[in-house]
Amino acid sequence: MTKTKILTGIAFATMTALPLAAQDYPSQPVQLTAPYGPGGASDLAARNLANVAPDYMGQPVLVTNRAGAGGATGSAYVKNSDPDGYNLLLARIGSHSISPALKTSMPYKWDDFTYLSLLEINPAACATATSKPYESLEELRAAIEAAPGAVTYSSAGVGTLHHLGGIMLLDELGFEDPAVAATHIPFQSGGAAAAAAATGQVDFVCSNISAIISQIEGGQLRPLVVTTPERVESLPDVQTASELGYPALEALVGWSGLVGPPGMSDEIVATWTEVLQEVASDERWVNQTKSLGSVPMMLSPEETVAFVENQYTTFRSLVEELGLQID
Amino acid sequence: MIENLSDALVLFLNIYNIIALAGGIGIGVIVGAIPGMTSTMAVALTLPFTFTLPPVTGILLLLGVYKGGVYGGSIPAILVKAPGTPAASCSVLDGYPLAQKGQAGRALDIALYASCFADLVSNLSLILLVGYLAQLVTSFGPPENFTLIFFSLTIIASVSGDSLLRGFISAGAGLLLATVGLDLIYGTDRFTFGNSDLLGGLAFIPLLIGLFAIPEILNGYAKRGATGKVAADPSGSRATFADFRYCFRSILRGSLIGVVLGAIPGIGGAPSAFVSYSEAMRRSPNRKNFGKGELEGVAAAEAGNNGVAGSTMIPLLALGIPGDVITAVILGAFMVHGLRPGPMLFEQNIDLIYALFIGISISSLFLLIIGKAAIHMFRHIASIPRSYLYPVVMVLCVFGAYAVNNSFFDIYVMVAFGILGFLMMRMHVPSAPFLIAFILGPMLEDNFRQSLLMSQGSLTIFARSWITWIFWSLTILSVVLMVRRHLAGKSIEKALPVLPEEKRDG
Amino acid sequence: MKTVNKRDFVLGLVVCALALFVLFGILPWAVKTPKVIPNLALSPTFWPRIILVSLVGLSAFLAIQALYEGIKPRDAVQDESYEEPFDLSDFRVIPTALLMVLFCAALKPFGVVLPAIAMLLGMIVMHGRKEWPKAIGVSIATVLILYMFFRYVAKVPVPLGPLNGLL
Repeated sequence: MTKTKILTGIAFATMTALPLAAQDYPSQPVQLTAPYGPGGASDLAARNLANVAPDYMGQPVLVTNRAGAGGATGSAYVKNSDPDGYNLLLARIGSHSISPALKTSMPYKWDDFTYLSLLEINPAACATATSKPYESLEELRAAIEAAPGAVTYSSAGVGTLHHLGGIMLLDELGFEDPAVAATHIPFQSGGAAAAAAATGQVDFVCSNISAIISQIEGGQLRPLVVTTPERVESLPDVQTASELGYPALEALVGWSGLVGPPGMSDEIVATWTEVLQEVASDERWVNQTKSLGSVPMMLSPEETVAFVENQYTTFRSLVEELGLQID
Repeated sequence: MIENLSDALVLFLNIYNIIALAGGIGIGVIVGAIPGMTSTMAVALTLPFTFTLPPVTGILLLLGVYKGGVYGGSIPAILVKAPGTPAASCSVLDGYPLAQKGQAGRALDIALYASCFADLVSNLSLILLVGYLAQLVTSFGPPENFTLIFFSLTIIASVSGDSLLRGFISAGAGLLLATVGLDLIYGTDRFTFGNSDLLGGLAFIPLLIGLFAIPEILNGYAKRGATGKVAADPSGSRATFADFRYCFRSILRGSLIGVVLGAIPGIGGAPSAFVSYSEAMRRSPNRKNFGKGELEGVAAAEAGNNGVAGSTMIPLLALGIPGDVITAVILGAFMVHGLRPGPMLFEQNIDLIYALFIGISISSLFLLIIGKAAIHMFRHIASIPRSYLYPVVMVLCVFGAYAVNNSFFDIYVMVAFGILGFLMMRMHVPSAPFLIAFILGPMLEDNFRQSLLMSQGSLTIFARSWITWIFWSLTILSVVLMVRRHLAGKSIEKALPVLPEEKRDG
Repeated sequence: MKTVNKRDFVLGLVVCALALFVLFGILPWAVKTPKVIPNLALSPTFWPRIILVSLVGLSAFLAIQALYEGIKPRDAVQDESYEEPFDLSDFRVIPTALLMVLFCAALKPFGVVLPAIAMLLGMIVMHGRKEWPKAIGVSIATVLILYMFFRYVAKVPVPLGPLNGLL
């Protein structure tokens, strides 16, 4: 075979493969990238969806972890892939509203994606070790005032819910410069951040409740506030942010969403909206999501964009106000 | 208690549980044996299957995959110098030279025996000492971790081969490359050059394969590599009971090191293997033979590596804290079933805990049987003609490296480091210090900076507890011993004519 | 000066030069520092700086040691074990390494499977096996088996490139 023949062969194969894909989506497996490592909330949310969605769309959904840089590596990869609907991303609060608000040099902006749906929200709480003396937010505030910088809080890294949660809490408690008031100590993962708080290595942590609930129930962590508008079912005695007079903390709510590269066609978006409606009423998905400590919440593409934009704007103005921007 | 135990037996004694455990170990061994496929990935892939299984069955399946995977990593490390997992990189040091001497079977056997023994010790510690070790865990913070990792780094001196200086240079390069990526503390870019693949840093699996396996493959294309010692048919060599007894002290020591380091969140199998290996070397009369095919080296590395496999569950079960990525996935499996590990689990679901313990305690036996079968299957690899083996291993590495992050970038990294590794091999720069520094470097830096943040910049935090003092003393002790030995070695060298020795890996 | 340990001398010089270049030429712009740092040791540049300075010192020492030790007569004896790092017998290594680099370049346009088959075949033939049918068979079979394993067992979507839709 000559070189031209091989090339025509290849061209032919590519041409026949492509229109097929566009006509009846999905005609091949969908790759769903989880931008964090295995075992995390993003990974579990992705695998849970991948477990149920194929029943309603006739093609497998393959979850791949592409971790690194607080979700930026995986997100940038999906942003730069073809908008053919076969490369989707499990977006998270950290990768899509906090990091873009905090960091100017991110390889993408929050609105660089085609939003398909919100999947779930993760209520958050701030807690301290039971070995620490703080019984309430007021006592924590007093401790910070007494020795600025000595009080520490852990996070799963810069640009995570934990990080911004700490900053928001300090801001709400009335400290002008959160960076001076208390010291932020980043760890490699949410698990490590929770562990550091539970063992008393740091003074407090703000985290999604599902990651700290077992330490709370086990008596190592004392929850000080939950950020949901209503009290949380599993923590009926813990006061909400509004009850304590800090309603702005309600913006601190984790979420997972399904997004794709920019410029996906309306047909593909419509296909997914249909599929996800079915998933939302599938008991398996709902039960798994709930048992992981999250609240199932499917939103339409437009509502999802509005939700994320609202959160991003809130965080962005906070970052600008406090001068926290990272170049 | 008795009642709980009988409940637990009822819960455990179910053919599906046994199948899940054995099947999990089998899957784990095979996946772990593929360079690039780590036990973490295997566990993550198995997780969705457990959604529909009863909790005990599902968790036993995951544990089986994990334990099998930890052991499985040693097989390609010994046979083709391509460690399946980072922790197995230490088994390469003596395992591969043994295979080259035609004793692959013996190395594989002792790796299996050491693994199973260490696994057993670790499981028993989990069951018997969960409460005590959980207490220990809570006293480890960043300063303690820093001193521990600092001590682990002294192994670099042990694996530097004939020149400490070249070993340190290699380690320096490893430390430097480990700083690539997003800065943990401030979130700023370090050496990323605006590349989004570099933001997350260099993944260590491609680096591992690149530095160990590819230079060996390339060397196979050089004339001297091809005419050099090639493994004889290994099917004849077996580890005997005498071999096991010979290595027993190191295996026991490695197991205990693994148990303690495994119980500390965020440490894991690799440092444990390193510490166990360097301790074995320090205490062995055959010190000079380490790195050139010393059976005890393989045993020590594998014991340290597998000694964490049970105790890593301690922080998870006792405190609900996942110490590493694997236990994070297992935590997910618990939560999917509405169970929350932690003290409450012991109160509310003690029958489930006991059922898991029963399963865990027989897993070592299953590992022995399945591992033995795997050795029978894999040992034939060494008899494949080199012309086919090298290229096939290369392609296998490519697939494995790709699978880490589904990214071509990792393949580029692997090939680039393969070529660098070949140059290092020819310049007699040992690659083991590079890798160890690369794995431990970020842990060292992170814990260092976290400690300084905690103390608001005061260095006294590194002496805040008896644990830090212990590790400082150990570090000083091993440095002193090392220097003395080095000086003694020099004076002997000067007295005796140096024998020319065939050594390429350092 | 005939017996200078050229290998160590060159190695020391190259590493030293590289480390100096990174320290002064790359680090200042490639490692970004935040506006406010509470203390020097916490700076993102602190760690890389320390490592680089140590590397400069160690490699300079290695180069000097190579010069100094090379003069001593007893090392002439040691030269028996000393081999040139590279010689003509390495002639197949370079094309093999090139093949790997080419393979990397081919990944983006052609996916993993086709380039892998080509590289496998190339490497088998280059190692001196000229049994074409067997080599081709082994190449295609190995890659296909690996593809099937990774795609269907490990659920890794290995890119097929032009073969998309055919496999």
